[in-house]
Amino acid sequence: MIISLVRIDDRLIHGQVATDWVRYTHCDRIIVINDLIAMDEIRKKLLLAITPAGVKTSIITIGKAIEAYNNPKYKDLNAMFLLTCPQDILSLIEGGVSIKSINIGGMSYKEGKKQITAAVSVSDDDISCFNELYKKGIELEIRMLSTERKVNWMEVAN
Amino acid sequence: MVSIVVATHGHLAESLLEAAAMLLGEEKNIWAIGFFPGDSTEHLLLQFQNILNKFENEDILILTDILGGSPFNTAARLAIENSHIEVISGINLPILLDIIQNRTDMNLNTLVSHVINISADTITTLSKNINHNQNDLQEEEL
Repeated sequence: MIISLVRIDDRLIHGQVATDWVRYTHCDRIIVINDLIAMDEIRKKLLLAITPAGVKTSIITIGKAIEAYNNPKYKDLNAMFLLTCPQDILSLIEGGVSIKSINIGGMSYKEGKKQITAAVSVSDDDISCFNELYKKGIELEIRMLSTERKVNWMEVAN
Repeated sequence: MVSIVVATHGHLAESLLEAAAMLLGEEKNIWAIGFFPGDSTEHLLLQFQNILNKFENEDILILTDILGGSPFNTAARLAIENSHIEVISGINLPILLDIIQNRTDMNLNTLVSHVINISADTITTLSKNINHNQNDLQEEEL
């Protein structure tokens, strides 16, 4: 599997993803990886309904994503991984998925979170996850759109 | 690159560009013209000319809201005697985004045919998309 983008965006498929990132990555398939949504038939139905033209969408659990990643059947598949949080990316990596760069697109504000950019708010646990990913040498770049400048996690983390 | 002028009644043109920038970032060679209550068509023509005067023999696509409205009619007066200008009516956000994404790779004629081809699909319904895409899931293991 060719992972052309790993994006954290808790709005998952929306305008920026459907318009900008699908074209930027030339991906064949958007793979939404989330254990709760993969079991939620209504949310799955809606995500499938808004699949942009020219690509396909899968909504699968972390476990299934690891299986698919290791399946030679998908070796030529250009996939965009969409996740809602860094915790799930750590699980993918622990499962053997090789990730070199993470695009942090949007993490919405909730009480108890700290807002670090216009589109990104993080909890204490998010911060420790990102720091752990950073220590693994993974690029962590904050950008809503592909045309914007990459803001590195370390520029805003502290 | 095909340059774009979006010309509409009211603030629609300006707002379409604002919405497009949220999805694709800021663009160059794209302008908005608004036609407001009390505006004369001479004023509208002047606004077009101020933009079009920047160009000579370059491809320009004018996107208007409705066929036969003043923005369209004024654009038509300029386009009818200039083979480098084409006018489209019925602009919406999906079409605008598509034009922005394809205007560097396509010339004016190709871009216009392309827009006509995709235009009907830019208006759709939830029900149609749900039915269409569920089948796709069942066929795939992933």
